[in-house]
Amino acid sequence: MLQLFTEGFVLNALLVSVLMGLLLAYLGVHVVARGIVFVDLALGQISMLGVAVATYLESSPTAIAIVFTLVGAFVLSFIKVTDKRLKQEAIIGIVYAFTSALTVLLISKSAHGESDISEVLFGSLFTVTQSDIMWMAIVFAVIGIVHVVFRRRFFELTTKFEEHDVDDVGFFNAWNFLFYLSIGLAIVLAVRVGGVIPVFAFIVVPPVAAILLTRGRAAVIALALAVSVAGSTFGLYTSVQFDFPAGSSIVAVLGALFLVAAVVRGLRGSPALR
Amino acid sequence: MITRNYFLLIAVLLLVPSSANAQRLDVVTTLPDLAWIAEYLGGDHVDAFAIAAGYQDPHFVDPKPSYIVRLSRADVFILAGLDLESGWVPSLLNSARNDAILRGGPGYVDASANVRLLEVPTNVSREQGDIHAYGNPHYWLDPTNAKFIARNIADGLIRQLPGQVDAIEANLVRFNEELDGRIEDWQARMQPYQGRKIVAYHNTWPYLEAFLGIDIVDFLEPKPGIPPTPSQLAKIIDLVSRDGIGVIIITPYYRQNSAQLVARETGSAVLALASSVGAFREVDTYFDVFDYNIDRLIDAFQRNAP
Repeated sequence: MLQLFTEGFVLNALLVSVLMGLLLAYLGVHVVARGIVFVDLALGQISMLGVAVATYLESSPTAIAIVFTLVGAFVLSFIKVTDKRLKQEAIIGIVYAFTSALTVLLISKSAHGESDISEVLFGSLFTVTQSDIMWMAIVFAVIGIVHVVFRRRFFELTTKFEEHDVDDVGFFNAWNFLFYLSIGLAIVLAVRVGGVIPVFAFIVVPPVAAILLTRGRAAVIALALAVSVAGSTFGLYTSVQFDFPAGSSIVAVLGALFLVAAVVRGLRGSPALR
Repeated sequence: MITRNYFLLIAVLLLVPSSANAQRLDVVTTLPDLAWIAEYLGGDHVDAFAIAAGYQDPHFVDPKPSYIVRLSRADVFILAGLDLESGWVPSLLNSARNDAILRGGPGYVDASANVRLLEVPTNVSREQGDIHAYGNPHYWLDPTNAKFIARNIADGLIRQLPGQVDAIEANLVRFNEELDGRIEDWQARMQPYQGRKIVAYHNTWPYLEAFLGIDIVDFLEPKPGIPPTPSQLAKIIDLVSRDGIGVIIITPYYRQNSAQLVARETGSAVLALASSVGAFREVDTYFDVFDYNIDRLIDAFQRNAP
């Protein structure tokens, strides 16, 4: 089975997965710290709804998906629930279910609706084209550079959110907007190829696993990137070895890596999980 | 005198048996091909509605409430049979509560009676994938089976509209004549391409394959109903490159990514073919299905000469 790794389409899947996984895991460190994990799941689905709308209207999928995602990010980030009986999470959950249903409704009008839906959820890594990879590489490189160059600013903002010290983060804070713009773009490009669930898994699992195992921002970032690459490689290996679809194999492996991290943390006996 | 004849006339007219909708039979079918044939045979006396669209997968149709309403009013129900529609037809028929169109009723037409079947399995198990126990059900893709389909449909129409037996039989004769003429043409056109190898996405095509004389050597699905796996993709890429296979055929209701991947890696072409009337805008009649498919296959074969 390992000789399948010499096949072009398997190598392309590996390249795309690693590329995607690295940036998403890095952005995930911010996402987990800010506690907007479900917002990003909903954003992924909103982005696919944008693609479904564009396909239905027969216009450019990427442009419309970007518009949808940015509007979605804007709306989701400013939801303030004042009733004590409701948590923001409830609203995010509703948005996720609602956009998923709308996507299915639109897709049901197309000829190949059934197979489209599994691709929305878990992507189609083996059939990625050179053009897809090129665009992703370019945009992700730009996002990556912006985040590295301005890392102090972004982390300052994230720390404020982490410590609920957000009163002086204005409604139209430029850095916050830029942050959401970068996440939105990353998500839009990634879900087209990787699917909503694997993208979500790359954002959440590596940072969480890293947090369970280490302290200090730099160490967390490094470990998150490592877990992400491990997820991509072992996930694809599993897919090729056992003839499973790529996206769900990667998510399964990421889940397993999280469990390993949790067990290790539990064995070390520190109080974080309680 | 005039009054008596007048009353006699009225009495005769009142006594003429009317089916549920006077002179127009309400026909509901599963496939659009069956609806088209029903309207050909019944002419003005038939109003046919097909539940599945030509570009949809006939194995899986979402049972909408409007279909149940149509079925409850139908005089004739025509299905392809052989368990093609067993995933959704039984529950629709149950909900429709229309005895005339239940199995065994006068309005129930199983179009598959007497057709020549392919791939009838000797033993059946789930590990072979999603196979059909009575044989491959896509039999309407061999136009020589159409005379049996048309006979079955004509019988159903005649049962429910006995007054029109002559018109229906005359249309059947016309249908068979046109069919025979076109079959000759199609076979002549495909003569130079006998034995040409191609690859298909799903096992939709054995009847078309047999009729056209082409050879479908393998499928992108490792087993029927299972989406292409990495090892099957690698196997097909290898096969297509090695044997110089120029064409991969697929129906409009499957995503083309895997087929496009194989095409990119090997330089072959992906061809979406019609599996039913209405699969594409240009495919309006049963005969169009074959014209469309043959035109495109011949075009692809000429561009990919071995």
